Amino acid sequence: MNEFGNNPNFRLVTFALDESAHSWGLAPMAGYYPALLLGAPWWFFDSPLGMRRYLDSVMETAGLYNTAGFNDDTRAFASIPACHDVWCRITCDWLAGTVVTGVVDEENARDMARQFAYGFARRAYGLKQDPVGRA
Amino acid sequence: MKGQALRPDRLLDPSWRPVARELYESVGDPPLVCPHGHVDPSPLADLGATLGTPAELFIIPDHHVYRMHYRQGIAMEDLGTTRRCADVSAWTRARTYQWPLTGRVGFVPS
Repeated sequence: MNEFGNNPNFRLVTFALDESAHSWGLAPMAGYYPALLLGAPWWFFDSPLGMRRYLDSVMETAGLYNTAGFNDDTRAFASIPACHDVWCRITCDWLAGTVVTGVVDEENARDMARQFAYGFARRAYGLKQDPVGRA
Repeated sequence: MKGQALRPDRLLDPSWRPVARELYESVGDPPLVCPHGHVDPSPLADLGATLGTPAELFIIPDHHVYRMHYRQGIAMEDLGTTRRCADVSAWTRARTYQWPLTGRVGFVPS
């Protein structure tokens, strides 16, 4: 990171099996190096409680806009939309907590919700074209 | 066992549910962005592909589902997770454990 962390042609998305590594190590780095985006802690991330822990433990330090969005990581075709829906519900629920406590206003929260749902992932992986919508 | 309907406000905390619901509805029904996955890509590319049997759709590819079945004494072979061919009787038997098996919010070790 000393060498490439500020290079505009470099992007690193980090993942870790140990979810605690995110809060003490990776989150502050993602909140500093422009090249770094914080990815998901696999395994803990594909469950509602895991998602809540992730949001609580890293967003304040890393900064929500320095994260890489959602990866469903599923093996089962039928669960792809279900995983994304759970993530959307959990992130909206988490954002609602910040709204009612006066940390984030409604307009910013709506943008954050859209970014969580698909904007961050498109940006992280350089998906420039609009995704194919549902029929 | 009676099926359980999905509640429209599932996973939304009652303390701020109206705000959470408004945010959720504002996102709408966006396209799925899936930069990573483990689903076999060949059925996605094959216009003639089918979803297969219930076991092929819901059990064989889902490691969270079949590990909890295994934990209840149903052999991997009977679930079809090693020979890629499901035994229907094992699937029927597994359904009787539906909630103890897959109610993943809070594991209860026994």
